[in-house]
Amino acid sequence: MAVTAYVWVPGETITAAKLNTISDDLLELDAVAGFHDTQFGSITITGTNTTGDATVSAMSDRAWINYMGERVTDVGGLRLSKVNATTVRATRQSAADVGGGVVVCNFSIVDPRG
Amino acid sequence: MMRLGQTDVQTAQEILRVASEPHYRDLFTRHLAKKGLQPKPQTDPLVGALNHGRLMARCVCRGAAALHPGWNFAGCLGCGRSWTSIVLPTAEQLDAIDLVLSVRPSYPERVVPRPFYSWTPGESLADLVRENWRITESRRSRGMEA
Repeated sequence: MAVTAYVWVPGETITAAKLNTISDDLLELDAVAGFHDTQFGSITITGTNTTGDATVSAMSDRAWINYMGERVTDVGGLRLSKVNATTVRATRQSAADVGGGVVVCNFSIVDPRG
Repeated sequence: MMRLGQTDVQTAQEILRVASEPHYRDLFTRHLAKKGLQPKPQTDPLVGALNHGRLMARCVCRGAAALHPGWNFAGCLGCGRSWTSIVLPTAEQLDAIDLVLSVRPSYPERVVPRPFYSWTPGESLADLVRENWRITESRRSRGMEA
């Protein structure tokens, strides 16, 4: 069924609160439609891993948030799951990239207008 | 905002926080310069849509452009395409679409209050009515207020 996913308009500012709201909405929509892709833009992730021995940053102009039972996305090679409105949990396929395991990051969504 | 029936639909003014068409054009030009994108004026008309209570149009780059019903300009800040010919449903058609969409669940307290208020060009009123039933049935089956 074609329940329309939220389409990010380039230039539109997506605050953390808005992202969270959209996520909730889409989770509700998921139960109707089964699966949704939603496009967001210019997501910047920075953070330090839990053991403090590595930092990580990533930025993507075209991040895709996939909803398949959990809130997960890939941004700049990072695999993210959202913890709450201002925190995402990020892992990389190669643990060496982040000095081992899970990284808890803050994320901000950049207004392209600067 | 664009008023459809009893529904406030966000336009380019709210989506991009631009006050006027010249402001929109200026934002577009400055953004493209900043990103190093070349402007790509399009001759084909851009066909408007409703997405989560916002007036916008999809771009072939998979981005989108914010629209305003009184402005003859729209630009995709993702790729640099722009349009001066924009096609929207007639006022009567928009009112009819609103009649069907406005009965769907809304959440005035939320940042995105109308997640079900969407219409894609080509969708008929009958399509939207069928979708209303599916939304209602799905919500009921999950114990939610229909």
